[in-house]
Amino acid sequence: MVTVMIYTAFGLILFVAFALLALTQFPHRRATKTPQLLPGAALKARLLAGLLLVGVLIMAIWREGGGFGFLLWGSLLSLSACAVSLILGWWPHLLALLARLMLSLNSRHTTVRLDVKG
Amino acid sequence: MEQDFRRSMGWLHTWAGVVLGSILFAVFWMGTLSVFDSEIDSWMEPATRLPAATSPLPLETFRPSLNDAIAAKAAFWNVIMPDDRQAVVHVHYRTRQKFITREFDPVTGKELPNSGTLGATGFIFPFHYTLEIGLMNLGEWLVGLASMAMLALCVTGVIIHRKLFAEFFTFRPTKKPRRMLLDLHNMAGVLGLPFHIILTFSGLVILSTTYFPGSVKAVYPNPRGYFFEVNGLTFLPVKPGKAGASVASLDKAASYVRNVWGGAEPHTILVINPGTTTSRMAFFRESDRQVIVDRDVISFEGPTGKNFSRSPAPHPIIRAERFLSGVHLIQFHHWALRWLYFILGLGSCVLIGTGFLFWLETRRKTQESTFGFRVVEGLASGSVTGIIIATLVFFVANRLLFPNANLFGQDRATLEIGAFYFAWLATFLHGWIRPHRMWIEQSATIGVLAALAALLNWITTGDHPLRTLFHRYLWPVAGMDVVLLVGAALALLTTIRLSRRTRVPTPLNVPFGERL
Repeated sequence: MVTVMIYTAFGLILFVAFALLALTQFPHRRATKTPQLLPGAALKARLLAGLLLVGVLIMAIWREGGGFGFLLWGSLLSLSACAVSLILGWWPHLLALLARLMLSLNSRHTTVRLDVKG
Repeated sequence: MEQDFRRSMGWLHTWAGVVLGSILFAVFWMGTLSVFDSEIDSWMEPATRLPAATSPLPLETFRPSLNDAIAAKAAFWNVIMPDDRQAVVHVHYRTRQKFITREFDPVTGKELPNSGTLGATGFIFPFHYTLEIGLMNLGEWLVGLASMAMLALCVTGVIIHRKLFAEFFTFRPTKKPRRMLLDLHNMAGVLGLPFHIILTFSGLVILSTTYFPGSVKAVYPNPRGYFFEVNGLTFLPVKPGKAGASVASLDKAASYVRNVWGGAEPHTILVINPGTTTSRMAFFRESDRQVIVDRDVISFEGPTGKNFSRSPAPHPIIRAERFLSGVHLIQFHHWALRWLYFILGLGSCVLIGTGFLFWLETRRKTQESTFGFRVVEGLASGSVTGIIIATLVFFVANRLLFPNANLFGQDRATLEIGAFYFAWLATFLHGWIRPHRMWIEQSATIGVLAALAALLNWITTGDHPLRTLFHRYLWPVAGMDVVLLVGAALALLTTIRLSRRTRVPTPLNVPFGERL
């Protein structure tokens, strides 16, 4: 049971990492009906996503060993990226909360208004 | 210059996919199913659905079958001990006439009735890499050609993708069918790229001696030497011995082996040339807790039981080969990775299937009546939905045929395989005869057959999902039934959606430059 929870946690962290990467792109922010990020904030989000991706790799190798850890990470990577794509395609509103949270990365509290109808 | 390069890569991507897509889909589909070959075996052989033994049986329990092998002048005899994935003991030996498999209860040691099926390990897994074409290794060569094409398709696919990063996560299900198909194709291709490349490359490495025999001949005076070294079989006798010798105590040798390995159990016990003066006993260590296929083998002289050899530490190149084999063959026991492989394998099938569908959709308006289009259309239906139908017919035939079924001199296992090929051929013909309804009708057939297979399992064995889910040793059967039922639901849902779309036709607008 603990193992299931750990693998689920790995998957969720990777999912969040890919969601952060996706939500720095204009079409996906439009799909979630949230304003666009400033360039600096997008960079911060991407760095955070990168850290999460590498962090899961380290944790997977630490827990499972080199061979299994790397395979588990690589497989979950593909699967979680696909999950982000499918959710952005079918139910983008599920990522709206994360997209809004990412606005806090805008350092000067200024956001570019976005015409969501467009 | 760049546009010419991209265009030529597009041409290669399109035609390598269309020409070899059928083989690729068959290879990936069967490979995906092979991920759960032992579990499918358990579903197809109800007599083997037994609780696991708490301690291994003495090896001498299987002495009668060894004596049978000696009497039949078998070239080898082996025992595969139970593990997490298969509860029963398997004994195999090859006589001059045929390959014999016998299964034993892991607790009582009593022989189980012959299941009369090749199951997944005997049919689906070999089909994955031979296409069941044994003539001059033609099947392996075709699989190799398709694998090389797959690598080329992966590389060219990345090159011709105009907005790789901008559309990295793009999937637009509400757009027109062709746009959605391309998005799905790109998504399955790009996001599953590491899996496609690693699995294809490792598959090529496993069969490299078939494709590049020259490289082995350059290093080994006799190619058998390479085979022996890679598989830890350096103990194999060179000269044939005289008949009439006995085989020493298997348990005594097993006890010695456990001491050497610090308590680790042997997974396979092999006796080569049993009953001859040069026979050898070999014990293969279980290596299911690591990715690399370990070949730690301790061998003994068959007649005397005297310790003969232990496999040497492999050369780094061989070790690398064994790691790649391990990544591909997943002989390790890691349930999460097994499921991930299965899902990613299905993703590869989606990649190939959507490639076919996109090719058809982009040409439907202008070339629908041409001979070439109709050929590819029929080929696509047989290759994509057809092989799924054929596999399900294989499962249904397994549950419907009587234990000792025989028709026109063909045994039960042959009849199951016959049903597979008959159904597969029928789907190709169906695709050519009814092109406008083929996807709807074949999706519906998949849904009905998958549900029927799960239902027949319940009727013929009494193992319904509510029962199998609550017994640990029946989880492989539960997993198979659940996958069948989920597959049935998805296929029927697809049928309904395709039927609705046929009733309300949508205009096809081809955006400029979208055609591959």
